[in-house]
Amino acid sequence: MSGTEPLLRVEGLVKRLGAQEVLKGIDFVVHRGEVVAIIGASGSGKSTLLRCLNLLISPDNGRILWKGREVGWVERGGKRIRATERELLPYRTEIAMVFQSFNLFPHMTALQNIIEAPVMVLGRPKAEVTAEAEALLAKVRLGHRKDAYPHQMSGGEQQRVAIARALAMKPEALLFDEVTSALDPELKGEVLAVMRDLAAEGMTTISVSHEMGFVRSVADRVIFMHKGRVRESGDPKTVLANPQTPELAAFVESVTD
Amino acid sequence: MDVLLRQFPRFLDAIWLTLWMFAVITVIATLLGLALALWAEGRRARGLDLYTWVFRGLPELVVLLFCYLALPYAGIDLGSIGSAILAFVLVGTAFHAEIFRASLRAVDPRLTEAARSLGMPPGLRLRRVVLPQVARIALTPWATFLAGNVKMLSLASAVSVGEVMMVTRQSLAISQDPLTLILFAGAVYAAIASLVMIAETLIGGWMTRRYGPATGGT
Ligand SMILES: Nc1ncnc2c1ncn2[C@@H]1O[C@H](COP(=O)(O)OP(=O)(O)OP(=O)(O)O)[C@@H](O)[C@H]1O
Ligand SMILES: [Mg+2]
Repeated sequence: MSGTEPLLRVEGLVKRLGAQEVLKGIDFVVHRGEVVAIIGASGSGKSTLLRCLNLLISPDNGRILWKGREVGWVERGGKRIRATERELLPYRTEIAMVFQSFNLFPHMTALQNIIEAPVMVLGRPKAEVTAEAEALLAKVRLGHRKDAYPHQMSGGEQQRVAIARALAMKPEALLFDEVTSALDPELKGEVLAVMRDLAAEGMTTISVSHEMGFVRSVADRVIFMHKGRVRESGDPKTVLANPQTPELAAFVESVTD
Repeated sequence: MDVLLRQFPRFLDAIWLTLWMFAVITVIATLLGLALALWAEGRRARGLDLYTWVFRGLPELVVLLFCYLALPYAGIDLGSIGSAILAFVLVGTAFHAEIFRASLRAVDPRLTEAARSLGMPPGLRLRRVVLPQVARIALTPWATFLAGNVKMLSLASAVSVGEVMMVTRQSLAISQDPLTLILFAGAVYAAIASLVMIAETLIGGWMTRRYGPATGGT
């Protein structure tokens, strides 16, 4: 889109889990402000890919370049070695993740969940972060729920708090892993609306999603994964309307809503 | 009855001693147990396995007699109260370590993953995310062990600790009315154990109302 170097560049990413090679060499780039959707059948490696991008798990091979610099490795004594958990933390604060099962901290209110990391990790002043958190809650239409604990909220509300929690870190990109698939149909809409707002604001997002309506109308690009490989990618309207591979044709058939 | 009345000041001292020993043993054994459980996390902690196996298996009385009668031969003479505290700390730490290990394993790994994705370093994660869940999960087994442990303290009378059972046995020797004394002693231990159980129920109920179910969550 703009600039020469993409925000994120993935080259030849390989990940083995147990005996299985789950990712078999993934390549793609994401530019600033792009909305990328990842689709694919269950078990095709979508969650594994997102968790590699955030380095919650380390790839076995290949490279991840963030703003032109390789992440996950450090130079020490002239040798290239894997970064430690602690060395990965700054990167993780720049690329936030939202999970299928919300994963809010159950002993903290909505507001406390949101301010936790900005205060404790980034060391920012609590009053300032609280004001921002309240604005974020209003933005995800939950201003009235700031003192509620996760167990007192619906799934849709919890997921919107989780999105606010990720946004509070002021990340440069957001990873969404099937954030609506644990929700009842009537609750999906409120979370998708927040995701649309973010896209409209120019937030860079990489979303695993089976909401084909969202993928068609909001994504700038779709990536179709099959058995650990990128099988097709491109403009969602074109790609989904004219599948070039039998796998994508079968997938589109199976998720048609 | 009049023996109980005449001995009452001694009983009060004995109850105080029992409570005091219980508190000291509980604090030390809980902290040691938690520290060992944290140390053992994600390690193959064979030494700890052996320790908890031995001290959960041995009768308290055996450990107690060992500390009181055998350790002096190794030049470690802790006296009766010191030996009793050491013995119950050795046993209690073994139980607490296993309770906390199991509780740590029961914490939803998705919470840890969420904390990692927010850039929280390991120490902060433990303090702010993991330990609050552990407190909730461990509360019931921990309190259950303690309620049982109160009664075990009566064994300390075997190494001449002047706690409630000791004073009871001495009073029985000069009493015409053993039933009253025995019932009284029983009531003291049952009362302390009940306090532990009531506290557990109140705290557990409060946490469930405030934070929802202990493990389920989201
Ligand atoms: N810890 C693990 N150990 C071994 N295999 C694993 C592990 N986690 C996932 N897998 C396997 O890796 C493959 C890809 O899993 P992944 O969760 O990335 O798929 P997915 O595309 O996200 O699927 P879904 O749509 O069901 O979420 C699956 O075959 C899964 O069984
Ligand atoms: Mg998945």
